[in-house]
Amino acid sequence: MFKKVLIANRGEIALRINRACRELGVQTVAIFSEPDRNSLHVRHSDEAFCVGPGPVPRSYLSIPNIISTALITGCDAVHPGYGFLAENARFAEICADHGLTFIGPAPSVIAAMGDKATAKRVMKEAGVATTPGTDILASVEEARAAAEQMGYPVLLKATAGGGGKGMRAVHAPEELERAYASATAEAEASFKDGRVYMEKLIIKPRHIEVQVLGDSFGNIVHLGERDCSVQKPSHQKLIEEAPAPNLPQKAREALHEMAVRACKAVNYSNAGTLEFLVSGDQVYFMEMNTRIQVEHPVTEMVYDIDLVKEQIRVAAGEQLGYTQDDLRASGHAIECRVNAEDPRNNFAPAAGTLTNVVFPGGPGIRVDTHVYSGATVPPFYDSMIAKIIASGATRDAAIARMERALRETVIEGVNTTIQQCLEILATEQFRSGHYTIDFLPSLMQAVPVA
Amino acid sequence: MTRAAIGIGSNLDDPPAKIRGAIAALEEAGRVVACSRFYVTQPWGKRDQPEFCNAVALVETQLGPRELLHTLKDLERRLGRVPSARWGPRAVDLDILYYGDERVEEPDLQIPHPRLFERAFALVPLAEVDPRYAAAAEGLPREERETVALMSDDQEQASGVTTPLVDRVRALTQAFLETDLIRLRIEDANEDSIELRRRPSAPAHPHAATDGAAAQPPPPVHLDAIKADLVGIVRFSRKPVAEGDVLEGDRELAYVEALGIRNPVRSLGAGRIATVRCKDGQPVEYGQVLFEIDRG
Repeated sequence: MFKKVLIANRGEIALRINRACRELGVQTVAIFSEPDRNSLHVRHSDEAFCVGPGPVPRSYLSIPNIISTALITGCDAVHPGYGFLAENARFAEICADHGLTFIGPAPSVIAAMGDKATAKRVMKEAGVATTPGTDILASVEEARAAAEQMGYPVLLKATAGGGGKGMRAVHAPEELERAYASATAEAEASFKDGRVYMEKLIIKPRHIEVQVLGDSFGNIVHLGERDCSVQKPSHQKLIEEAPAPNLPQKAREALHEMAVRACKAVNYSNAGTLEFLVSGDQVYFMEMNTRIQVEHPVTEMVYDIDLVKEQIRVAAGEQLGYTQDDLRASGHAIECRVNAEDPRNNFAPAAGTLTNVVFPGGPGIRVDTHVYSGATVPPFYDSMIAKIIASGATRDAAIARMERALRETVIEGVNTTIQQCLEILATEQFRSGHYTIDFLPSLMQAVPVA
Repeated sequence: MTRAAIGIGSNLDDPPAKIRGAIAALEEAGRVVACSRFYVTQPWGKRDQPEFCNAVALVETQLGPRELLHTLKDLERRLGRVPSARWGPRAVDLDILYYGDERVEEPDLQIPHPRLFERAFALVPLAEVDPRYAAAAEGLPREERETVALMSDDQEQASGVTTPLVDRVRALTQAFLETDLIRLRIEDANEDSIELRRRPSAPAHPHAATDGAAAQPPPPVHLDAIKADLVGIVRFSRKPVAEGDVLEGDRELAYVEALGIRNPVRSLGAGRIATVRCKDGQPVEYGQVLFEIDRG
């Protein structure tokens, strides 16, 4: 096992990793930016180093300062969390060059999965269903031919993409030329890589993802699926649950089996997530995240497993020590993201001081957060300030607990998404468990929050 | 977005500076769209208090009335930190005078402010930024109206962060001269620091020259902090510097070793090393103060 781990992140996930290390008897080194000096992840770590000012490129993405901190404090491993450097293959390589274990898969796997076109090709070769699509398009003529072949509507996507940048939906032939031009230009501007490819646009799919875990001895298990279809128009997830409600057993088994097969094909180790679009019985691989996810706690609750500890354990060279047959899910878990943003002001992120904070408790409730009464929310970072997770024997019980927990929660000083989450939980559609990724965008249009 | 009027008052520890600080800090509550000039107010009731300074700011805020109240109370707490009297009176008062058109009638929060129309120190600056209140301000009884006066430019300009420092240095210098100390260094919570020394301080005979220096106190100085701009191990240069060393010009003081590279730490000009705040071989973080230089 490692002696000391550097946590290359901030916020709730830094604290989450710190907790896992503590329970494993591993010492921790936190890094922080100047405005995060009083954050909880700093307070609970064994050592903490300021690595730069507020803006992310100069602190949480400052590879030299992060590596230097790990070296001068005598760390033997680095946990990247999610976001920031978590899927940066170069960073994983640099860690290795300095004798630090990067807690995640091999750099070559990160690189392969980070390039969407490569990821799709690898998955296709492994026999995983992918959305009908093309390789990188050389010209608008090639795009036109491909669209004719797969049928409209289609989606143009940047190969280096992420966050919806360089992505354009094309519903009819006359829209294609303009969409192609703007997608390539935006991709070039955002990623310095203007290459795009085309996919069939799946109408009203569900976003369902499968959690996987592998060790460095070739053992791979899945930990079921999560439904993350409650997404804002920006594709940002707001509510996630495990297991996915009303998923045909055949589709569920296909998802799990494909996820494990894909991981075996790339010799995957550590925790990862394969995201799929599901439309009826049809299942299409979308992308793979080679890191821990924000919504990992819902899986932890139904499988009674600590994914972050498992990440650390397998990175330290231990075997999983169990097989798929040893794993059983029970009950249901839901996560609501509490973001410091104003649902009444076009969801603009809100920064400020949290004057009063009271989190919920009681049976079946878990809160992962780095904030407290008097904490400040700096303007530089992601707007998520807490995750509230409710679990219960049934989906209905978990929903009832979540509603109760959200009503117990007090956060004063900034506006949050709590009210919006309550509104979603109250809808007939969410309660029925029949919803797709169009659910929240249409709810937001239908009921403009005044 | 709601427009709220915030009354700001202070009578402690350089009130105009406190008010300027409060206006800057109000950005946490919203966008400050207008601000009145500063007024001097005769203390009301208690006569042994110093004069008040008052102003009014208009803020466009997304906060609800109660959230705004909490934010203001929090700002009061933070702005009101008076190093000498931890539990002393608050240095800054922030009051919600109005909040859009809303009326709030609760034990701890009344909006509009119940005494708004009686108090010149609130109404007069408010009328300056919101003409709807001009008539009410004109209509105040004369004796109430005369409790406030526009602060003169001299008063306003005489204030500022340097004034208390100058006062403190003057008092300190006096006290320093009455002792036979050769060096006195004071740091406060705001990270201001003052150091007084008798000069010249020849290292070989530290006391030799102090007699003559007493008549001519050293000028007060503000020290220039040399900070680490990356994480690493600080190592002193081959010819290490010590406190009291005089630097003729820009010079390497040490270097921060990170990832096998030596990153020089320079004095960035001439001066005297007032303090060495690091040890050779010590790990340092971004922004950590390594040396302080007296540029005087």
